[in-house]
Amino acid sequence: MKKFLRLGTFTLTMALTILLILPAAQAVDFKISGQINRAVLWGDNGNDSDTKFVDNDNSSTRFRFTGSNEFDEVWKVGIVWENQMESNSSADKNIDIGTNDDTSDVTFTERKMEFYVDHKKFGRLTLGQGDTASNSTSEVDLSGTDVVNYSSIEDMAGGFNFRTGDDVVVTNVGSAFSNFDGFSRRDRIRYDTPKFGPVYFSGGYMNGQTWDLAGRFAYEWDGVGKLAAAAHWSGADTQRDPFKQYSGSASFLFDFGLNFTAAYGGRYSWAARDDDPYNFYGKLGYKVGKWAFSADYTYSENVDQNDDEATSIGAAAVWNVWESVQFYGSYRWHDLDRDTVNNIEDLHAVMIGGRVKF
Amino acid sequence: MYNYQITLKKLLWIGLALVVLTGCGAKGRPAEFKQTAGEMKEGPGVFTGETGEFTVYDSKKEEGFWKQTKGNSEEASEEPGKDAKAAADKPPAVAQTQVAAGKTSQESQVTPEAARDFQEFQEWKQEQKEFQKFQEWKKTSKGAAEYKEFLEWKEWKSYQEWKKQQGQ
Repeated sequence: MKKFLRLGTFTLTMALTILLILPAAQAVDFKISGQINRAVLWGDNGNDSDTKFVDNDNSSTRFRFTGSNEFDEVWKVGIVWENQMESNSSADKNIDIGTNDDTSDVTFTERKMEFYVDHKKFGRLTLGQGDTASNSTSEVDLSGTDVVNYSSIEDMAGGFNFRTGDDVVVTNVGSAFSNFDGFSRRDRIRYDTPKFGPVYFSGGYMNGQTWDLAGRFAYEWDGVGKLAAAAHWSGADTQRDPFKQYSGSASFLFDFGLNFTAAYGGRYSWAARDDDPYNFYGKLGYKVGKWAFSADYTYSENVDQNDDEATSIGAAAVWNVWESVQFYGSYRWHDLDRDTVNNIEDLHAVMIGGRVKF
Repeated sequence: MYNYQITLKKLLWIGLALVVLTGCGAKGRPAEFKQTAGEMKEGPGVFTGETGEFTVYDSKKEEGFWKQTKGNSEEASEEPGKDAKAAADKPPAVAQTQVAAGKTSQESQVTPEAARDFQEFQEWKQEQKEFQKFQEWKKTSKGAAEYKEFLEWKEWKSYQEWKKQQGQ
């Protein structure tokens, strides 16, 4: 309750500050938005099956405040404050098949708390907690099914454990797979260049002296379709992140609905592995009317341990019943091969749910 | 050890595909890069409407939740006027009957003359509002430039007329 009171006070203070301090002639806006994304998750680990009621971590329940103020039609200063509020996250490591309780009380976690200064010619500088330059570079996806199915496959059932036929826990899905998608969201400073045609570049520096570089591309051809792509590289190799990492993804959506998505990422100069871990992801999709369908394939190697080979195949359908409401369903098969452990059972998961923007 | 050659080849293939696409002659343009995976749903919201955002304040659109409330109350307060306007266009007997069917005793006493007066007052108020908007627009840098151009155009028109008169 106290959290909500603090939240309310903060919101009002921020709104009043923007409205009262700044001159009325300047362009000012302050907006609130959010979504709820809940699902039923069923899983089978070869020994047992279970049904969970979860918050879909592919695109978690959250709300956000945004505000901006323009100066002299060239400068823009803005804020983004976005919080995630999940009850029983589908990616939680404690949500294994067979556990009866909810994972914990609701988790109220930060996503973005940042401000930015934007100049029309010189780009944007952002300071605070938010997307690192490299975040989402292996997650470009135009299939329309990313609410339940995209390259970060561990968001669907990350806490489900692989088990042997004797019911001995091997590892969980979240540890066995990775799309090496940059450094997620962190406290950092980030710079984005202005757009050079269809391209722009970003660079960031964060706690632990880690840095990252990224580029993003988007282009559309009349009567053909649209291409979006992104890639990152970090050669920081710091104490916090003792490795070098890269990833890239691209997605092409034809105007008639067919779409292809691919992502590739890996890590090197990492003392924890004899061989460099990497991941490949491919997806084929089709959008028609209010529906979007897709099937995907993922292969990860050396992610959790040396010589691990993790494979997953999934299929998804999303029904955009109304513009603000969508329902979805997805099935995913997971397989793990580990030289030191025999007889690891396959994992199956089905997720059915809905996302409502409010 | 990471194999740079393989990645390089892949990048080359992607580049080649792009060149083929652009070279095919299909006209195109840079698009906005929008991250969707993991992000919040785009588009309208159940309660927030088309924008998908609850606008606390937006000076460009001159809207905010209190403005909407104010707008609604203004609309509500204008309702008697609307009734009166409609009544004024009708024969007195019908107008009186309709007005008398209103909710307040004050409304039931509105005469067609008073209704016309009220209508004129509403129109005057609207003009004032528009004039105020125009004054504010003139203060903006875009508005100031356009207004200056308008004044120059007016000056040019006067000059043309003067020149025409001189010719005669």
